[in-house]
Amino acid sequence: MLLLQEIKKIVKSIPYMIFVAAVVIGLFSQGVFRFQDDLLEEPQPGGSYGYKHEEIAEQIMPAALRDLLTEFSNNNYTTYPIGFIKHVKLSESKQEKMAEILSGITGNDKDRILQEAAGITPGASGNYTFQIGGDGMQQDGNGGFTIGSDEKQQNSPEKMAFAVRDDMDYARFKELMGQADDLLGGGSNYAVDSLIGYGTVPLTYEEAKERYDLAISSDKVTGGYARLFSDYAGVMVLSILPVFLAVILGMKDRRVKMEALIYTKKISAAKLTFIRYLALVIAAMLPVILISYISNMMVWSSYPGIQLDYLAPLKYDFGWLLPSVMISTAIGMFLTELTGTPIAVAVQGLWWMFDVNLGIKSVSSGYALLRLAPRHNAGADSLFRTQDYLDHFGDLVQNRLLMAGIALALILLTILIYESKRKGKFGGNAIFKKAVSSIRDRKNKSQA
Amino acid sequence: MQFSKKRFPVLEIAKINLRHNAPLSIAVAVLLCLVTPLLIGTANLDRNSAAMPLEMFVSLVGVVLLTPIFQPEQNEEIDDLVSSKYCSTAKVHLIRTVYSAGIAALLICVFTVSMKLQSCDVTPVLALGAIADALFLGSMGMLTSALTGNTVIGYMPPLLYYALNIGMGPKLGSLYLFSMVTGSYTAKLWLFLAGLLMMAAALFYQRLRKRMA
Amino acid sequence: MNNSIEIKGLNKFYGKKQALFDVNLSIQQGMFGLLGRNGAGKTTLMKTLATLLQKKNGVITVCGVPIENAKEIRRIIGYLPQEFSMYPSMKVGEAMKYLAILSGLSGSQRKERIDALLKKVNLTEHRDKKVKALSGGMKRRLGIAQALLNNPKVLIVDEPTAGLDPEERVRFRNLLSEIAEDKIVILSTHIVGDIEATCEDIAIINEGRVIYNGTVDALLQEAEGRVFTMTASKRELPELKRQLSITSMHTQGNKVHIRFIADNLMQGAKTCEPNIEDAYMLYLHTSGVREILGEIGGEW
Repeated sequence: MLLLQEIKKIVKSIPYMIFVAAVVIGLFSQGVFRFQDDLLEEPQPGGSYGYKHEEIAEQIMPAALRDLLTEFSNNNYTTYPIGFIKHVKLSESKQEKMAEILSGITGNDKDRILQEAAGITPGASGNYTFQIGGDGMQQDGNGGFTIGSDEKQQNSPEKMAFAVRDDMDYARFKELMGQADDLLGGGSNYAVDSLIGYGTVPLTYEEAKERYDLAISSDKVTGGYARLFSDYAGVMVLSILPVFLAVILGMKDRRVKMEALIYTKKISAAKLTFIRYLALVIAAMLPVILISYISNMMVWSSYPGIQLDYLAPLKYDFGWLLPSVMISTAIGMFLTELTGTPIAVAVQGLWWMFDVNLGIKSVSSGYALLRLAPRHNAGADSLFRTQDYLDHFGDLVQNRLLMAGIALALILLTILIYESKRKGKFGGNAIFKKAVSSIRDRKNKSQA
Repeated sequence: MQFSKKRFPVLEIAKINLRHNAPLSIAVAVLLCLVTPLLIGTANLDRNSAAMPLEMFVSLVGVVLLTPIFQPEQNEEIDDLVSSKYCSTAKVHLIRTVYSAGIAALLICVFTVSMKLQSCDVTPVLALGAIADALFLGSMGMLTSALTGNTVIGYMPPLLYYALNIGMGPKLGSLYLFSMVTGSYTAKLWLFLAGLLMMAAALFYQRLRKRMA
Repeated sequence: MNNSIEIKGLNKFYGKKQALFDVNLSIQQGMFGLLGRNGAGKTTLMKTLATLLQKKNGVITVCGVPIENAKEIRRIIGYLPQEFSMYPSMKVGEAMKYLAILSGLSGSQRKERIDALLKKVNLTEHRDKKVKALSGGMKRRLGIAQALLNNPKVLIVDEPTAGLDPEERVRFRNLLSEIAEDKIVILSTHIVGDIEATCEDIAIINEGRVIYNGTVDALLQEAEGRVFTMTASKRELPELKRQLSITSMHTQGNKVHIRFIADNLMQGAKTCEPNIEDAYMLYLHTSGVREILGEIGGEW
């Protein structure tokens, strides 16, 4: 059977062995073989259960204002437009607009705010502790990043003493802060979605218990671990490595000059391309499925008496990870067939880098429609955050279906290109080649 | 037949190779430098934050420029042809390595200066640190490409290592790529040395490879 | 100065697989043909002479220079690989220039030499064309031109006529013969016609062993009286194919004319004048090779 042959061909190749090694190393580095160190524990009454963010206007408004004033007086704002730190310095006119916003919030005159700010010498930046995404963002041992903005450092020894005006309404506050965020180019802590970071409340026992029960009933424990595995596997390996397999094996056909031979064989282009695609996807999934089970099985014995879902890894492998493999393989095949160059590596590499870095900010949950690798990392506040996941499940499904759909569309295009190449209509830079050869023919004729 | 007195016209060989074998990777490297400010702030950064664009983005020019050093002769026919000539291919590879590393260093320096002009607290040491990263990642690509005889495979390990650094962080110790963000510079020396070592190994193996066939 | 190539007791391995077995050859000025099937070891022998491969043991000297002295050898040889290709963006003139630099020519010599060679191979007008856009024949001629850049004493050409159309092939052979007037030209081919047209001395290589080394005339003499023709009916053909070493056949209606090699005259057959093809087949035949026809028949 052709599919089996193609899979064998891939599995026996050196690039595949490197691929497998890379997958194993990449996943090992993320700690997927140490899930038994992180166990779900039933909360006992009287303990501390962590914190959660909540929209508490009384907490958020003063804290956010305090930060904004400090940054305003230094004219040095920290933002994370795509996940990386960016220090923004505003022009004079924009600073004035910012003063207007502050005036709106505090009820003080704009000029007075500006004056006061000018009187304060910009404080020397304090000692930054290392945080990979800049201050406020911390890398945990498992490669996740968490943002904690509740303990902001004070950069300036002197503070501007303005308070939120008494009659400020939270909706209006959010609107003004939104304007400030726009002024800064987005990605600041004052963005409407980020303000919630200023409001923190401790979790109650009931809430913690509820969260635990949900993890047991909905995730059946193993689902949570499988999700964590998918988070790591998606972002670290499966969004980027399959493109190499597709490109290397696609280029190999050219290198050994089999093309001409293959082109003349009597098998439909559609069938051949699709089988190759399928073979690549299956080959890439094999080690992942295996490792996902190894990783998941590590915790099975730690939950005696609880009903586990033994199929959870498989469900996540196919539901979450397969579309990532599909899209990166499809991009590899498509661009290699189209251009005959390894350009797909650069294209996918760039998208991946963009996506990973985007992930630094939204590592706890990222299900945006165009995410290459959706994120759902446990983070510090709970092991699985089942409720969060359930809330975003629809987005995740949309994203995954879209990626799989694009992948199949690209394969369809690849088939079309392949088909027209076989008929001799298209070849690398076919139009160019045709032009050259027609000129050559003409010359030869005129010589004759 | 009289032969050239200057038996190895380095500059001419470099010029022709730059013109015919380097433009694509140079273009991608420049593009990378131009895209970086769109992804991450490059203005008004204190010293540790300024290390970030240099270490995490601009250093990737090393992968782009150095990994494909052996690529032109990975076409066996071209390899046979140039290998039968008087000037050894190993020296041509050395010339390419030197100018590629030079271009990587130059781009990093230009980028550093442009950050300086945008009021970042950058120092020559930061640029040197980024160059060490670039050489390390690039020579890793060169070595894999030499060992496997395939440039595309060569891109894999440096990118994977880059991902590992994002994933594992400072646990990588002396070979941690992003240490300057924490204000630590000693790793750079190791990276630089390891880079030179891998580069030498790659050039040496490439020379041997043919003869061992 | 010694103007010959001497090969004594050459063995070559690819890993554990032996590719050349105890090869002994003496090659003098003029055209020398290496004849053999695909995979017989011709390319291996030529690459070894071009210092691209290292031998396991044996002694090779090229014009008195031992092969181990690769640098000196490269000065006096020109090599054209089986497939000639160049860095994709290079034009004809640029490729010549680069290869001239690599050949160690000085600046002033370069220009002169390139102009002369391009003229010789009729490519002067195609100077600004990309190498990859050249036709097969043009590419081969450019290949010869670049191999002559250093005015070598020895020119090594691997399968130079493969893939050329008949007209190009004839032109190419003539070019080589012209060059061979004052050089050693070693030409490998699996096409007997090439040898017939150009070479006096030949060697036949089979499975890594030299099974014949001598002049074309001597080869033909050995086949004298052992080549026959006969006409049979088509029905008999399968049986005849099994019994005889057929070197060629063509059908005419119900009849088929066959040409074959045998030790003795058989009934219904006539002796005929052997050609190189017959003699070549005879040699392969005697060294135990039978399944020949499919390989060579097509090249007539």
